[in-house]
Amino acid sequence: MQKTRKMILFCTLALSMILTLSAGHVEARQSPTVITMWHIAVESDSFYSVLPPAIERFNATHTDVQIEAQAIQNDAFKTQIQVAIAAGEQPDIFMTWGGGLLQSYVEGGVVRDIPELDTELGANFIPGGFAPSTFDGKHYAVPANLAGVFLYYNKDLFEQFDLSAPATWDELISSCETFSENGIIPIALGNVNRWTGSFWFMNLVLRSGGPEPFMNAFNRVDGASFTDPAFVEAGTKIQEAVEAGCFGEGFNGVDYPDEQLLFGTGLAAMELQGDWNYAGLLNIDAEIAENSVDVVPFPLLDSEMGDPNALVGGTGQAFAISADAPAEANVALIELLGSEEFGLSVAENGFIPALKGFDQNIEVPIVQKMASLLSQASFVQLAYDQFLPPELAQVHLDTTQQLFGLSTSPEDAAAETEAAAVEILGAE
Amino acid sequence: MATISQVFKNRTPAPRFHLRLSEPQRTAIAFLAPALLIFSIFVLWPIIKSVRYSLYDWNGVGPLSDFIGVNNYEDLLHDKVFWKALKNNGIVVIWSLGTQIPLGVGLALLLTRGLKGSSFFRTLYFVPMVLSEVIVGVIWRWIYQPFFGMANAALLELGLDKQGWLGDEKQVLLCILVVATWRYLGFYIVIFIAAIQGIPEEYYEAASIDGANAFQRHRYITIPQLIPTIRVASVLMIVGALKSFDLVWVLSQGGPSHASELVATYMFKEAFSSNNWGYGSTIAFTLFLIAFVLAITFIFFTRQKKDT
Repeated sequence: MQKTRKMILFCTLALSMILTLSAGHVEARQSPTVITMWHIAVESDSFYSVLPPAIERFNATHTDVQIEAQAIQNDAFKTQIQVAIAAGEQPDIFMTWGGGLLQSYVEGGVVRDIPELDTELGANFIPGGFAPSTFDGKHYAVPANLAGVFLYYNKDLFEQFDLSAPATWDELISSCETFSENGIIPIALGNVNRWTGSFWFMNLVLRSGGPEPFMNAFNRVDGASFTDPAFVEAGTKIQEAVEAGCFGEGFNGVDYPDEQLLFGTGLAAMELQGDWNYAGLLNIDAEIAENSVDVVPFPLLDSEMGDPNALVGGTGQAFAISADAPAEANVALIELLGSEEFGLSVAENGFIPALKGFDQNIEVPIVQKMASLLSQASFVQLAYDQFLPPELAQVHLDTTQQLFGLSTSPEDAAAETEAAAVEILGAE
Repeated sequence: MATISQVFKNRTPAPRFHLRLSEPQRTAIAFLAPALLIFSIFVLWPIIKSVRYSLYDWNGVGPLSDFIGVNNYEDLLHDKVFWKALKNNGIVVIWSLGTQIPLGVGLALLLTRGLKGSSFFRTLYFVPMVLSEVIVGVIWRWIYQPFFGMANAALLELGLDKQGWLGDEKQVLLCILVVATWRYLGFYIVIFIAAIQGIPEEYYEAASIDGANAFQRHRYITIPQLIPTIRVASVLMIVGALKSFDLVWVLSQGGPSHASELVATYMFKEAFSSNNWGYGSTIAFTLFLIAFVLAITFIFFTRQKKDT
């Protein structure tokens, strides 16, 4: 008995000593706060030369805060972040495109707002870059770059057939016909991904009805709906282009990388894509990309109607902060993406910075052109599939793909979207 | 050491309220426990969880709070896309059974006749099986590529019109089925070859002595002897067809406009693209039920055959 007691006493003492020692050890070391981060700039991604070096610079210049980043390939990322969030195990900072999906995270209490962006710290950012991630006047993400969608065209091919860059829809269709007759794919489109075709739909809605039809339909304003003539018109124009052979055959089974390849190798004469597309074109064939490629705003439906300065775009990549991230995360993220070096690196790598004053640092003329078109924009339409709640976004993408496949009519596609909108957003 | 069957033979009626197990029983439990534990954690528990999720309207963010009972299941019954996906799964099953069994048996018969070069062809047919499903998908995407793919180039050479292949709602499923057959045929050929080689030579000798011709020898010896193998192959095909995902995902993502949608791809889209986790779970559990019922039915029928 005596022996057992002694043993217990000894163990307790030993244990308490170990605990005290280890506690002292922790205090003495003062380990830095670690902030975990997920992004999509894997080695094959064109943002690879921008983001990982910036994180390295940040870690080298900070001792109290360290960012532990993990790069995940784009498509895998979309699934992985959903699973992590469902399990409540999201990283402290993660990539977002803003819009409806981010809003659902806001409503679910997954992310927290970043009030520091309204202070001196956020003064460097171009205010428009916050639009996709601002809800109820609060900012929920820090943008890394801005994005715009433009009509890419191959100058050499256009010259060869005495054509000029299309300024109106009729010019676009007639140039398509010329290319088609001469065995050139008029427009590269990889519509397996569906957002590629959505670019056409959104631009056509914007050209035929301006910004209002979409915003009013989304906000369920009295009398507004997704059956607005602008949406039907967009569908009609898409089918007109398909029937004129503008996209060739089988484009609904082609993916975005192949679309890029078709245009980048000079097999196709046009492509409707975002500014990020250019980095990929450079990889495919730098000579064609540098000498033959140019961009114009999406054509007007007719020369007297619509505003050529309204365009589709928004933020490229932005980063949100998990609600349970360490307090230091807000300032750290703003420092990471708001530094002068970062803006410079974004510009030099051919992207459009979300920071003010770097336009002249963009060395590539075509990117400079896109940046200036974006900064002069009278209205920037955020991509529907990112802006809308995910479920409605899928309906939009599906019906648009069907429009391209000629398997639905513009009226039916509009009605189907509206029916889903009533279910998801509520009646008018 | 006791085998499992011994365990059950030796089972004595357990005394109530006393946890006294015989030595073999304890051994059995010890050996079964690890597998059972892993099975419970990675199979049973997720199934139970997804049944629970399927009763909620849940977007995967925040707590489960919107209990809607069997609403999701009711929606599923009226979901056109789901029925289309199920129908497509059915087509995949019928196609696999209808092409891979006759082709597999036929080619296996040819390859076992000791013709010149049969080992070369045996290897050749098996090659696609070694490739991962995603690689197969990527290769065939390029073959079907409408602008610079091999399939259209071949058609042009023959003076025929180009096709849309994966981009054409009417062709896409057939295109995918051809790839699936290309990929899996080799596997079934190997199975059938093994079975054919297992048929005792004496049967054929006896039949020849009795004056049976080549057709009769196949009709009355080879085919009946192959039936158990065909049955196993059918089960594999049905299960494979129900759970197939990768190939379709890589080739067409279930599109265009759901023309090649399968239940598994639809489930993935609902859960991960539309963020309908509750509804996605409903589809997942329904798929599980269908597969479960089919598997049980099949096992039941194969058992009946053995008894008679």
